[in-house]
Amino acid sequence: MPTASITDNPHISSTVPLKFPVPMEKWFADQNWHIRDYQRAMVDAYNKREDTLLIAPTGGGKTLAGFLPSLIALFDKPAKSQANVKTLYISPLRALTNDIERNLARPIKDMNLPITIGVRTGDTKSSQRTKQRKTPPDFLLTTPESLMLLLSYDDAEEYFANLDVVIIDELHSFATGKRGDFTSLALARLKTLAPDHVRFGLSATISNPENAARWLGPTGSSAKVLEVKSSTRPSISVIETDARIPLGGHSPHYAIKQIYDEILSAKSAIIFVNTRAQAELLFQQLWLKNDRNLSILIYHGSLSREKREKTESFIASGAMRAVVSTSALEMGIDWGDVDKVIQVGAPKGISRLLQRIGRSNHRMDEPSRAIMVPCNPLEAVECEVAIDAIAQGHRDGEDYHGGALDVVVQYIVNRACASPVKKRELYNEIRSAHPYRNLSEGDFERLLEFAQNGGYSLKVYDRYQRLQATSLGYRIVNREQALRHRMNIGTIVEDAKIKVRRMAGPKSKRGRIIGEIEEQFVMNLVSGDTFVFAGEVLRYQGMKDRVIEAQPAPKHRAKVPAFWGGMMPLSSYLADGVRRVLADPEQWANLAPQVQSWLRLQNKFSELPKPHGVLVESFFDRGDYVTIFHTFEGRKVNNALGFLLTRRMEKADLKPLNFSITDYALTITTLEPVENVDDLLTTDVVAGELHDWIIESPMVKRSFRKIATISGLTEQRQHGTQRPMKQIMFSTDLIYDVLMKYEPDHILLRISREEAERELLDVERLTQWIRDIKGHIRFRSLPHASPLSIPSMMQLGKEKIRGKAEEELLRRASYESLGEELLTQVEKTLSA
Amino acid sequence: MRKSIVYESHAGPIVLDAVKAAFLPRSRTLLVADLHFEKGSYLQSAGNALLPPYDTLETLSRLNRAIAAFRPEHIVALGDSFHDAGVSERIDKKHVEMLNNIVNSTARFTWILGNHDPEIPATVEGEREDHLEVEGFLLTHLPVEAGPGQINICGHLHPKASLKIGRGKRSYPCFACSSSRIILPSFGAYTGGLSVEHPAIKNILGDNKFFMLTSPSGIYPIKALRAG
Repeated sequence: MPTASITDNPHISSTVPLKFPVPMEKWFADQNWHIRDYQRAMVDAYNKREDTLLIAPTGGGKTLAGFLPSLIALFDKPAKSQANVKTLYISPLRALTNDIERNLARPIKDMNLPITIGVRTGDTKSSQRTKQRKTPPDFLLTTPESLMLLLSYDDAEEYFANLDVVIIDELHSFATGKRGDFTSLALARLKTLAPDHVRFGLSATISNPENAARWLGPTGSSAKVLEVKSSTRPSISVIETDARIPLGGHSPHYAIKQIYDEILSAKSAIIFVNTRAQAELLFQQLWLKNDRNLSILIYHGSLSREKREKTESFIASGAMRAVVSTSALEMGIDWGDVDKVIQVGAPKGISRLLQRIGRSNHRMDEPSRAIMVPCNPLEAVECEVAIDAIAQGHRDGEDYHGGALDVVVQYIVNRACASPVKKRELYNEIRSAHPYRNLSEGDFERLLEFAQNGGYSLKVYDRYQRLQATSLGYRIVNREQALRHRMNIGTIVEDAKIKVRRMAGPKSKRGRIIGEIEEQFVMNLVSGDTFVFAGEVLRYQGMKDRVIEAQPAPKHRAKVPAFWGGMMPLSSYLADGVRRVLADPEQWANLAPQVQSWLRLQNKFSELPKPHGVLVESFFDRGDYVTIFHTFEGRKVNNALGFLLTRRMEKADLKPLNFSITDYALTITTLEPVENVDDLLTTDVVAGELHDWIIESPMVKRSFRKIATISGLTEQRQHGTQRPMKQIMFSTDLIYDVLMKYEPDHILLRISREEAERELLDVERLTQWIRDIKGHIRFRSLPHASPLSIPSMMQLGKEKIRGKAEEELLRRASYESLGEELLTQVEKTLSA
Repeated sequence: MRKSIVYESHAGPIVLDAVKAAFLPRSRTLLVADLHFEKGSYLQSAGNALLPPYDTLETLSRLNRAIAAFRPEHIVALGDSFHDAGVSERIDKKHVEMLNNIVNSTARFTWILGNHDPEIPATVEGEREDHLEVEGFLLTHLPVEAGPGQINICGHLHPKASLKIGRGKRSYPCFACSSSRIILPSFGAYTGGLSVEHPAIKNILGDNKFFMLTSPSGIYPIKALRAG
């Protein structure tokens, strides 16, 4: 693979002699900008038609480097040339496309270039969409989902026929996961439509450029890698406070004064949190503290488009002092004035942390500044480990795997919406996407069959089909099916959400939609309840036409929308690091004194986890027995261990009730006391032992729900017609049960099992781990939870066990008070 | 765990069973509600989804299990037995045969008409009724006001209840009962549930409510929901 490493100093710009149009040279000079080496190198790559992955630190003009060749190529474009897309820019975030449009508009205007730009995302208004389809812009800025939608139209072939450059921004976020698989299929389609275009990938953080380059290059060959090394290291510190850090949970409230002081001393700050609920809470807390009335904003993906755009333009105008954000603002956006990043909560991964930190100080030759605010002692340790890892230049690895098969089904339907396609042609196109290079013919056949008619062995319902086989190939059966597919393009499966309308007051009849919250949360609201949303406390009035109506309420204790998701997995590198630090008091020096005393307390009350083996703590807590396995092995191992142990506990009649995992530990609650775990942690683990259990578990059903949605078995969004009443919407669990009973070999079930095993369990590593800990199991029976156990005890999201414990609890919940007059045995009455 | 419970109501004893069916022991009447035969194929014909086409078969097999357990002399399906007017064109002949087998091997079989099935497919046997009075019970599809001393047994609403179990919350199809009404859980394979907290159920249920939660492991009477 050809790799070029460019000098650290971005100001030497003479090594690649390239002709630039004179007005462009002049424009750069007017801005007091130097055309950097790697920007020239990208122009060179374009001229040689080389697919290229550019890895450069944030703030280095990376995006401009991607567009520069296109700007030059279109410099002399005749004013009335053929209208279709020349340069396609794909970004994972909608906000990023708007930002890029703003940044490109200026040079185009200044140099009076004959170039049109169009943004096409889920937020684009329909009038704008129609205009774009009639007259395609030269530069089209879009997201993978909107691109796939464009590819589903019958004019896609013409629309993209003259494609010259495809730029994939933030490539690291596409290289793994289903959205990446999805994007790779769209890229494969583009290659068929316009075989001669060049692919450019852009990224700031990539730990494994070889893999990413293979993903980017057309099948069989890698893209060229152009890596610009940063000359500066970020300066990161943990917030200093005398306030007591909470022993568990994820609230930064204890350090609110220090966070506010940090905002005061910055020109402009981004405060990153890990979940939307955290964002809403922190935003509230900051405003309670905000006696100087600083413009502190909030930003996350559940806010309405209007709200988000307003915040974006506020940030861009430089009028903002701080914004509390989830990962939604993590990538790409060039907020020139941000000079400080505050990370609230554990960093979870080094690459992610670097990405976030890179949002401050968008000049590559000055260090970024970041402050970290851990929310419990374990997070404090994790922060120190992350700071240390960054100083040593460590990066997390990305996890590459074969492409997800449910995404293929969606792609097949998408392709058949555009025009009829022959089986062989389709198969070859899919295989030309890197993640699917090894897709077997047998699997493809079954996926095609599923896409066509469900692929069930019972053929009574053959007349209901999605695809129709014609002499020209497979095509979508009718417009309704095409519409239905288009409504549901994408790989992001969300929980059902309900829109929130903010009413001005109790009497007012009208209001604005300000965003949406999880249906699950709404179900628990009763009229008069207050909750925090979009940065204010709202009082729930009622629901009308499936929209929540709420009015502003005085600030007091409120429920917070339970946003799911945003549970970020910890990188195994950080997990190992935390365990090393905990085990060795000599490494505690950098930790805050109160974290050190927490560890000493743990040592006194129970014991510290050793570098090898496992510490298991068991105690009675509020009605049941809790056993915590401090494995420090990450979520996948803890999950697999949870399934294995609860199964063995069920057999041993310990009545396990549920288990929950963190990156560090597995927590199991049982109705019976656990007295020793040696018998449970025996080495005779067989994958088969887990297998039967997994099939029945809610976890596979969750995988199935997502897969059913992505493959089009069930739909997230429906067109026109109102979403049916909750009663009519039966859960995918019912479909799963029926399918398991009547067609256990169905392709969707196989995909669900494989995905659950791959994504959620690491059986191999578990087996190894159980072997390793043999003879090093420390079991402590304690009177109550230990300091180390508290963060696990406060963790949400439990895996439920359907076993004797459930029966027993149901029995306990069952009323006995109505007595014998009401409850008599069936047999007795039957015999009467 | 007990699979069924006898409720000695003022209208007579009634057995509520974990298979989501009820049984009146005095007249040996088996009650099921909301079978929704061919709902899967309906959704498909409406261009919706390629659902596994086994729901009718699954519902039939559940019905056979309930019959085997209770050996009823009279079966009453409380409406919405057939998902829509087009069922007769879509349903597999073998399934109609299986269904007629059930009808004919029972002394009496009554289809109460529901909003989904104001007409029962002509090929399906058994009597059709708008409502029926059996013992002290008034059997209907939609909830109605029962006469004095009577109890209305109906379907239509697919009640389910969520319950705080340990530290989590789970929901279960249930019998929603009061001193004047018993709403049966839906029986069909592809039928979901409506929370008993929903006004559509809450407002019509009546006084002295209690719930009988069903799960594969058994049936559980719950007096007060501790739903969070």
